[in-house]
Amino acid sequence: MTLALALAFGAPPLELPAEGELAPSAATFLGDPARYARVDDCTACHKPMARSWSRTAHAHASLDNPWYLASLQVLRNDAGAIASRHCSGCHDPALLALGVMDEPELDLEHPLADLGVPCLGCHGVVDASGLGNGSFVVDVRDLPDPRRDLDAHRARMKSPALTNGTACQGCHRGALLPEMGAPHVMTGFDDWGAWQGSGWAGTDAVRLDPAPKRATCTDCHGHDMRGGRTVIQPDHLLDDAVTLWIPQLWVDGEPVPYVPGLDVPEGAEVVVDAVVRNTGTGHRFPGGLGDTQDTTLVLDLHTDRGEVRVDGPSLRALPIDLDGVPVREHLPHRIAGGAADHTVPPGEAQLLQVAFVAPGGPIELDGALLHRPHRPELAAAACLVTGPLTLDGCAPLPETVVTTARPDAAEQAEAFHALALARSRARTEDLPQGLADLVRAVELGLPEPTARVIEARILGRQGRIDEALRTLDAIPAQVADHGAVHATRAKAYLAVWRFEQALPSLRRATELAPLSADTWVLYAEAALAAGHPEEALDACAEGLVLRPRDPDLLRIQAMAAEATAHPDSELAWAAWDRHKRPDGLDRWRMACERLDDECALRGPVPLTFHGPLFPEETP
Amino acid sequence: MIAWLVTAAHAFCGFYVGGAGADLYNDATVVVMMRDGSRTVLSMQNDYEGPTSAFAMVVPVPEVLSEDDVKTLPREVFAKIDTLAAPRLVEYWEQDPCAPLYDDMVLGGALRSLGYEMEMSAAPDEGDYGVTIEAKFAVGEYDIVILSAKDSSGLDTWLRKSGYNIPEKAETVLRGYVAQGTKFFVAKVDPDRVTFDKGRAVLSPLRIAYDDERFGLPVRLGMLNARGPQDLIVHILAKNQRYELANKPNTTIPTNLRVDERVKKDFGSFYEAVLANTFRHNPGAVVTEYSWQSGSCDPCPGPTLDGNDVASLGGDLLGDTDPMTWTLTRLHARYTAESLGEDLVFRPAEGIIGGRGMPDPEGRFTEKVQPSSMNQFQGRYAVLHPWTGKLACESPQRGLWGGPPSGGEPPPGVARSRLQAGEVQAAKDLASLLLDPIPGVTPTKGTRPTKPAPGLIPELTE
Repeated sequence: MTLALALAFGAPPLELPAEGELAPSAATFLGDPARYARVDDCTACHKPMARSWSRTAHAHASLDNPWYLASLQVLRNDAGAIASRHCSGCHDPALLALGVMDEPELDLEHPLADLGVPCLGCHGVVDASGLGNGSFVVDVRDLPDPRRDLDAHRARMKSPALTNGTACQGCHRGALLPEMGAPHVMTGFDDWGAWQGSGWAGTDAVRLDPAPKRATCTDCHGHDMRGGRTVIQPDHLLDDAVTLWIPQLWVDGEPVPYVPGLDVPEGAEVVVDAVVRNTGTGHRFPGGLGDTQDTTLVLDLHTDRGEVRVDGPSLRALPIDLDGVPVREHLPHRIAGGAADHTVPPGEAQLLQVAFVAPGGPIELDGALLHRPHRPELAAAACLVTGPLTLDGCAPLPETVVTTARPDAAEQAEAFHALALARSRARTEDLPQGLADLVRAVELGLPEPTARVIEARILGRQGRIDEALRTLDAIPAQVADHGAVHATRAKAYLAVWRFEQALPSLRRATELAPLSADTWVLYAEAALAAGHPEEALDACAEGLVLRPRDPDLLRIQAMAAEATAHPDSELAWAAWDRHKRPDGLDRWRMACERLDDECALRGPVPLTFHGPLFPEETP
Repeated sequence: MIAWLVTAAHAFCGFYVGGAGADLYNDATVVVMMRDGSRTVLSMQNDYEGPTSAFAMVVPVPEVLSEDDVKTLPREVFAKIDTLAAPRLVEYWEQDPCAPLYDDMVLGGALRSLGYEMEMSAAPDEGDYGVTIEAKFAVGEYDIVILSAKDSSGLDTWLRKSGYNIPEKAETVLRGYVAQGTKFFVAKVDPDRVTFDKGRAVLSPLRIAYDDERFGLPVRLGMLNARGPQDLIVHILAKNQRYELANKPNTTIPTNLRVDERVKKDFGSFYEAVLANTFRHNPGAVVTEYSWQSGSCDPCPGPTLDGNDVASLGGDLLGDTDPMTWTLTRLHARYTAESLGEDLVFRPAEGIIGGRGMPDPEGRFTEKVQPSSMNQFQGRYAVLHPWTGKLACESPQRGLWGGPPSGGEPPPGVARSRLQAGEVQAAKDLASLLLDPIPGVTPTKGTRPTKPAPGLIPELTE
């Protein structure tokens, strides 16, 4: 106790999530909102950029956007005007700063109602935290006049927060809060966090892949917001976002490598393994609001009986309310939890399955991933919205062909690699086949060290600690000192509760991948469980800078604070109490499974079943 | 605004806590797990052995459960599933070698006599020591509280201060759970609502459902009460799917063994000896004792599961109560506190058959345990009764096996899960009771072959 008290007296205060004055938005505005809104000032010198911007989601983020307005109006009706600050901090920052959003009646005719996120929405950001919900500081005071001091203008407009990407985190990470009508605090979409944990941020604690080039938000998404304008036009930034393969089929329960023209007996039950790997995106794919997306697998089947197109599952998240009813119109205040999330983290893969009854004879499959910016239910809601809109909520949504299935035989190793990756993070039942896929990938040429990390991931999840350690030990020394190797070893130890043994690996993994919040969580948990609360507290501090609302880190921080008699322990408990995961999620999911077909297929490997492909076939 | 990770939540097995000084043991844990998709319904029945004063069971749970999440089950459903999946002892009688041979009659009679026809049927103050009571309700004979704890020693202290006799090493194990934010389900039995049988509390099985992509069964806490080898019997019901362990060696129980008639006197002891021998020769292994469609059996030691049973065990939540859909697998593990390793993690396994079929004319069971597209495997032991009557014909047909000469269909004996290591004497006699070899056991010299000899067949045991 003496030691603990001594430590406590010297302990730095704990960083705890704190909302700002505009809560439930975390935005801070310094200076005149009217100055903030002056887009024309920028256009005078930066016409091409302004033109590009005008066709982006940033330019149409505000009340002129029917999809946003549809959602906003329901939220305001249900939860009140103040609750809508949550939305406006990122969608209508000027209206928020002016207090317009606090008025009971929404002023759709306001001169700034269609402002969107203007130039200074990004270029005016001088600071941002990882809290999300608009956790940026925009300062438009004393902006240098480029006509007088161009260098000062450039320096100010290219602030470090913008060049290193941190300016983006304020609005590209969300949390649902009771203050905006949600039943409890929930972490929401998190493009920023996904990027931090990826190779694009320079470190990777998950896979032993060739590292992608380092890139921050603005390296990919420039003024034209490529990838963020699909509501306005097909967007070819998506072209390299992910890769799609169809490596194998299951014919009457047996795996068969797919080759075009594969002969399948009539009446056989066929399940197509289509795997999407996020090979080109620094955040989950599709990015942004996972529940609004309509990114769907389609298969064109060519058979002797004819050709037919079938839809496969979609890559998106499915939120549910307190009764387990899916919330498909993006009404965040009604969301109580998530029933599914089939968006794909950076570097990872998602398996999508399509089942049908074979018509008999050779089969040829053309697969494609089609993206529309909003799922049909949200699109239908937007079509009902009226007001001075600059976009037509009833017009057909642009469709982007993200990618088509890669038939190249030379890529089969990568295809089976992706299958193994996808299965390695699915259910326990999928893991043995994941190992089989991995063996196939190695046979086809996948580098063994890459495969060994995935193998160890699977073995670790199965509790086969000795085998997991053996496979990691076999990785050549020159590549073994990698965040993914250390983190995978630690996870294998943690799966069997060998907390003390996991610690050295976690210490090294966090050194090598310091931006991986997930690894800090594991480190903190292992340190606490092994009886080292001071070390756990330090790990929490590091992790919470990256993810301030993380419920696990907040819980462990509070426990560790208590164990070390930290003076802020009560505050730490209060922070955890606010951010802890809700109880009841299982109940809501179960209710959802009973209520809803999409929910019934919410497992980690979604499947759509089509039965006979041609009407006259008998099942 | 949703892109969360669907987080894993782990299953659990608990331990008992009792009044101060209570001597509580948890020798045999029987669970039934229904699995479909990522949803698991876990029903637990623990044999409690201790005083009739108040006692409780502590089970880590992934989240705060509400009254609707917890259900007590009739003990009969556990008894039924135990009987259905338990190893069985059957008897075959050699049919009269001189009886008229009508194929359908012989076959039909033999099948009927053996039951071959498929049977189908439809606390202290809240907040003390960092412990918070998150929920409180009563279900059946249990008063249930759901606790969260700020630290493991606080929980340990809270339970001790509440008058429970926590196993010594509980705090160490609890620490891991507490660090992971696990909640604790404390099912305290109200003595006024529980029935006792010969001093032994008759506890209702408890059922809990949860969602977890990992299909496993943590066993750490359950070991804390073990006073010696502990048996864990896991029945898994899954849609046309057998399961085995992913992180332990797997073996099947030696089956289709012919045994001496003396086994009939104490089949349970005999089976325990077979099981112990199997564990001895497969260190750390988990033994598959049964895998079969839950709506059928052969031979049937009792009724198969019906729709109500399946619903009780979780079919109501999983939306399918047809027993023909669900394959019942029985896995038997035996641990000591010292050998405790990792949680059990299950994986799907291909179908197997074994422990079926009739003796051949030589009086041997020829079917091997082998992979199959279906699951029809059971631990089966057979007493054969060669024909001892007169041979009143010139060309007797030997080696036709069926029911007893007197007719009728005696049900097979079963070795239920209650029988514990150490209770039996059969191990040392195992060799003399077996007529077929199994690894590590040599049938006693002088044991006579079952092969019917021309003429009078002497008794097998003398």
